[in-house]
Amino acid sequence: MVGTIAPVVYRNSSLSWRKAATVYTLGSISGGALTGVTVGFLGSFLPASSYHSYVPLFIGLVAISYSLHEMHIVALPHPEWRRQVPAHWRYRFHPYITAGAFGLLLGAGFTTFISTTSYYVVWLTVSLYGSPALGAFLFAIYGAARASLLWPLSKWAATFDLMPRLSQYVDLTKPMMRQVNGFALAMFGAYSIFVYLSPPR
Amino acid sequence: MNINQKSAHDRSVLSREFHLNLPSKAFRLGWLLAGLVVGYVASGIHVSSIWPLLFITALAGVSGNWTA
Repeated sequence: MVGTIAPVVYRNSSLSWRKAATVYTLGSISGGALTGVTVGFLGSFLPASSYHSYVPLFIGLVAISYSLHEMHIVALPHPEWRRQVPAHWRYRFHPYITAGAFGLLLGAGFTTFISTTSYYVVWLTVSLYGSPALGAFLFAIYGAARASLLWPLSKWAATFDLMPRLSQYVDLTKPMMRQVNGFALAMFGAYSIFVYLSPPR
Repeated sequence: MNINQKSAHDRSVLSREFHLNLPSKAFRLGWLLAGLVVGYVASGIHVSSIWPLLFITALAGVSGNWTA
C-alpha cells in the first residue's frame, strides 16, 4: 500500500500525497469501525449469559494456541480471504477515491490476506462480548494502526529507486513480525487466563 | 555493484544484523515462555484489562501491513 499511496506516485501532480494518505487513513479507521460494529452486533445474538464469565479464559487459551501457531510450533487454521485490494481501481477512479476505498477494505481486515492471527483474537473478543461499541472502538484502533505505517515509510517511497528496497525489507522482516505477534499473543493469553483465575478484588 | 548484487548484499546484511531467518525451536519456545511470564506479571500488577486488549489490537493492525 505504501507503494500505491506514495509521494512518488503523486510527484509532478496537482494532487496531494498528504490528502490521499489522509483519506486512506480515515477510510481505514472507518472500515475498521464498520467491521467492529458488525461483529459486535452479530455477537450480541449469542447466548452471552451462559458463557460470559468464561470469556477471558477462552480468549486466553485461543491466544496462547495462536501464539504457538505464530511461532511455527503448531499449525492451526488460518482462514482468510486470499485476495488483495482491486488494483484496477487505481486506473478506474480518482486517486483520492481509490485511496479511501483501499483504506476501507484494508481497515476492515478480513477482505484481504490476514498476515498475523492477532486479528482473530480481536475478532473473537468483540464477538464473544457482543458489544457493537467495543467493536467499533477496537476495530477503529485496528484501522488506525493499519494505516499508521504509511506515514513514516513514505520517505522510502519518495523515489522509485527506494520502493523495491522497501518491499524487500517488508518481505525480509515478516518472520520477525510473526515472532513478535507470537510473543504478544502469549503475553495476552497469559494475562487473560491469570486474571480469570485470580480471586476477585 | 549492480542492483541485483546490491539486493543480495542487503539481504545478507539484514539476515546477519536482525537474525531474520527463523530461530531454533528452543529459542521460539523460550520466547513464548517469556511472553507467558510477562502476561502473568501484568495480571499481578493490576493492569486494566483494556490496555493489553488495545496493545494486541494495535499490533494486529500494524502487522497487517506485512501482507502475503
